Amino acid sequence: MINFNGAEKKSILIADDDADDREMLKTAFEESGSKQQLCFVENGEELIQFLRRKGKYADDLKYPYPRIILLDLNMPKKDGREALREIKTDKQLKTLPVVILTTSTEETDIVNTYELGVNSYVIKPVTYKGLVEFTRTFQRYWLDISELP
Amino acid sequence: MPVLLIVSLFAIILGIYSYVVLNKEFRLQLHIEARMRNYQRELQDNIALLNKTNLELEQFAYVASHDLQEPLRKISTFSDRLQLKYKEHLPDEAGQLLERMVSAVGRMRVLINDLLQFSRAGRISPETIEPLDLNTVMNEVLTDLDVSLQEKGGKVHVDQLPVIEGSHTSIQQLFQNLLSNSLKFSHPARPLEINIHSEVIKGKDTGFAKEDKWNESFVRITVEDNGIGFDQEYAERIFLIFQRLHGMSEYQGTGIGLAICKKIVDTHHGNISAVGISGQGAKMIVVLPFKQKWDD
Repeated sequence: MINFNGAEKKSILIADDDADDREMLKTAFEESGSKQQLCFVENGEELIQFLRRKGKYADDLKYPYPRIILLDLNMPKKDGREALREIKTDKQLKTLPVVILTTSTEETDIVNTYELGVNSYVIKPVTYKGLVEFTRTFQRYWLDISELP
Repeated sequence: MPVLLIVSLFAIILGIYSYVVLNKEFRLQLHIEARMRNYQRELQDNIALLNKTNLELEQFAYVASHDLQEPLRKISTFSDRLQLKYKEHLPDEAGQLLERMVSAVGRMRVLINDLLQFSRAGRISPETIEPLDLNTVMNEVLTDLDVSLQEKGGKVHVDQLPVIEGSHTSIQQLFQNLLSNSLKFSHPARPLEINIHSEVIKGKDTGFAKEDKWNESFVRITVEDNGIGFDQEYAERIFLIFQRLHGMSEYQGTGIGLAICKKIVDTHHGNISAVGISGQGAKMIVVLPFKQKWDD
C-alpha cells in the first residue's frame, strides 16, 4: 500500500529526461552549498511511481519522499504536463509543491500549467552561473522562507 | 406532289441537322462541365496541399527553434562551467577562444529566439480577433517607447486612427516594430520626426484586394520618418526574414522586425510596403481591412 505519512519528507525530486541537465543541476546544487538530498527520475511515469512509492521507490531511505518537485515539461513516455495533471488531481499528492523547470517559453505552457495548479514556472537558465543562482534562490525561497505542507 | 416531297425532305434534313448540332452542343456542354468540375477538384486539392504545407512549415520553424535551443543551452552552460572552473589553468589564448565561442553561441540563441518569435507571429486564432481601437494600441506602444523617444529627442505626430478588427498582441507588435525601426534608423544629424497618417479607403483602391472586397473598407496607415532611409532597390527585400541592410557593428539585430510585420499584416489579410530615400527617410505603408470575419 502507499505510505505517505511514514515517509520522511526531505528530498528535492527532479524529473528531467536529459542526463546532461540532471548532472548539471546536481553540480549546481552542490556548488550552491546545498545539503538537501536530490532524487532524480527520467520521465513522468517514474515520477508518479516515485510519489506513489511503487517498486524500488518503496525504499524510503534510498528514495526519501520529496518536499518539492522540479519538473521538466518535455519528457518521453509521460510528459511533465500529464504528470502535473495527475499530481494536482490526486487528493494525496496535490498539496506537494511543483516547480516547472523547462526550456519552453510558450505562453500556452505557462498558462496551462498554472491552470493545473503549478506553484512556480521557471525557464532553464542558459548559463551555468545562472543555474547556480537559480538553485540558490530556489532553496532559499522554497525551503527556507516558505512553509510547505 | 414533288413540292411536298421536297419540303418534307428539307424538313427531315433540317431535323437531322438540328439534332446533330444540338447533340454536339450538348456533348460539348457536358465536356465543359466535366472539365470545370475537374479544375475545381484540382484547385481544392491544391489549396488543401498548400494549407498542409503551410502548417508543416510553421511546425518546422517552431520545432526547429525549440529543439535547437536545447543543445545550444548546453554548449552555453558547459562552456560557462569550463570557464569558471578551469579559469586559472587555461592559457590566455584558450580563454579568449572560449569567449568567442560563447559570444557566437549567444548570437545563435538570439537568431533562434527570433525565428521562434517569427513562427509564433503567424499563429492568430479566431478567438483573438476583436474590435481594436488603434488609438489605444498606438498609445500603448508610444508609452513603451517613451524613454527611447526622449533620448533621440524624437517627435511623433499621430492622426486619429479608426477601430478595426484584429488581434491585439499582433497589431501592437506591428506598431512597436515599425516605430522601433524609425527610432533605430534615425538620422544622427537631425532630431527624429515620425508622422503617422491614417486614411480610410475602399478595397478597390488598395491595389491588392480581390474584386469581391472592392466595396469593403480598409485603413491605410503610413509611418513616415526622417531617418537614414534606404535605397528603394531594397524595398521588397527588407521584409524577408534575417535580411539586413547594415553591418552588425553599425546596427544591431538579426533582421526579423519587418518580417514579423509582414507576417502579421498578411495574416490580417492586409498589405505592407515600403518607400525609402537613402539619407532622407523611410515610409512604411500598412493597409488593413476593417473586418476580419468576412466568411460569417
